[in-house]
Amino acid sequence: MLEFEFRVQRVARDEVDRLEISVVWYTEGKGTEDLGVHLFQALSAEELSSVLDGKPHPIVSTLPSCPLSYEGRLLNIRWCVRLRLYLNDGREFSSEKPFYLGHLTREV
Amino acid sequence: MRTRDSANSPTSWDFTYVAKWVRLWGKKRGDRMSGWWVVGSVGEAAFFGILFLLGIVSLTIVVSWQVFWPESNIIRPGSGFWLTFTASLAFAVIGLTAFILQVSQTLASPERRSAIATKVKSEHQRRSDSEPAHVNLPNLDEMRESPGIKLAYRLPGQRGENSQLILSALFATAWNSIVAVMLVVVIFQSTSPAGPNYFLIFLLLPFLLVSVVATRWFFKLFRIRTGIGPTAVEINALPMLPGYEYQLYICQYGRVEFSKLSVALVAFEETTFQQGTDVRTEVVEVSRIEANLPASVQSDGEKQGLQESSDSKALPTESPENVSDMPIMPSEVAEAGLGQMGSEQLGQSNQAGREGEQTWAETEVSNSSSEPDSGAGTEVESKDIGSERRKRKDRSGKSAGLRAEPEKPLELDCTLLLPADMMHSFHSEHSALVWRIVIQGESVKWPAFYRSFPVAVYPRSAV
Repeated sequence: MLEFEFRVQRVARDEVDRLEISVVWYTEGKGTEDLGVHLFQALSAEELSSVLDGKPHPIVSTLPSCPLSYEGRLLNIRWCVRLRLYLNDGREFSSEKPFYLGHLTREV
Repeated sequence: MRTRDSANSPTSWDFTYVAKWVRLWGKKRGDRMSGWWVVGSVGEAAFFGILFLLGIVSLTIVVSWQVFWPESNIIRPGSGFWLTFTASLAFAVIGLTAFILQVSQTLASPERRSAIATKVKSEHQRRSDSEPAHVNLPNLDEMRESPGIKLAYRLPGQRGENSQLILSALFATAWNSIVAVMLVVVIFQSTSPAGPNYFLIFLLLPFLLVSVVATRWFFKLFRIRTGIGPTAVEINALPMLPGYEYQLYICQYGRVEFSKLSVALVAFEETTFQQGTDVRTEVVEVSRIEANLPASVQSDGEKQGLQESSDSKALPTESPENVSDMPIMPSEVAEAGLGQMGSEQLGQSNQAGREGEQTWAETEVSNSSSEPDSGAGTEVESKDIGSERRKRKDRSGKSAGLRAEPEKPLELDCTLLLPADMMHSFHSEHSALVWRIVIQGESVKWPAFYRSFPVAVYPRSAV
């Protein structure tokens, strides 16, 4: 079970186009990066008003059993929570918070 | 652009917005590109859009020409119609597909695209199969489809093991055919009134050389393949889970005698990446868990290794004054000046008569307290001195525990204990962590032996 909260501050409502929240895993290392999405939420215009108030908003998600976090030689598997904010003028802001899934945090 | 405002403060900066110089082309700098990605994306979309329009226009012209003016000789069937039709259709399909992809990449974030793709896949999986699929774990269907004789499942072998033999067979056959044709031509020309073609004869020599090498190569691989027969590995349960113990049954066919054999569960990391314009795949072994082999196999292997290490050094008992026609008893060996060794234990022995059969006594020395030049720090042999050939023959008879015969294959039962904190199998589009049961052996007669059998290790919570 993953519980986290996010908040958006110092941006006006009329400047924001959309907001996306996702829980993803991605591979890192020598190979081409792969991305897997476990949770994806895109907030519509009506839902944005309640989110852009600067207060924390919790989200709860049941994480899958795999893939577990892994630190290898050629391959690393990392999990993170990612938030993307799209503005009306075309700019995009993203923020991510990594976390470990499972007990494995080192190379086998 | 920023400029320092020295009038107010030496450390304050003023920002001025200056239009960025737009490049029509970019330059790759490491893993990033210079220039605006927006210009690149728009340019690429425009290119494929134009390609699509070109395809549609040419397709329309070609088809309408044939429909409305069939009597015309321009682009009619049999004179380029179908070629033009196919090319126009390809332009239209490629242009439309790439245009849609480019637009979607620009409009949607990577997470959104991945979420849509995952949703489609899971929906498709839900309709086709009731069992929930773990998209990043290996599929068990292929591993479970073959039941074992002794244990639950027989593992599929590695693919591509016979590819070298098949390629060598094809090459040798093709090359020998060419050489045969050339040979026939040379013979015919030699018997003709014009006389032999010396240039052709000179050219035939290197072809013959390659033919001989290719044929030898094929027969060498064929002999190895038939000598070291197939290997069957069975396991009692799949998928494997961390923290559990599993039984393995290994059956080696053929006619082979191993001096050393090991069984292990090995992890390989595989990654695919682009290096310039090439796509490369790299594989690295990252973890190895040895199986618990039967004690008889371990002792034979160790003893065989000990025999080989001692064989290169002369034993004190092999000095001329110690040579005797009488078989030497193990106790006599112990008394013959080898008391400098540590404690000795007599293993199996094979006494022989005076007719030339070797007499062996294997001992296991606890520690190497002997002098280095004695060569007996690891093992003692008692033998009836004979030829090297008889020595090797008896050595092979002694390691009967690792011997496979056509009538009696080598069978091994072993166990594999998985650690609780090991990583599970994983695969994605460009990366993978693969677990395989690897059997490696060294044979007296054959090249080094390596066979691998893929298995699936699942996380405990996935089952």
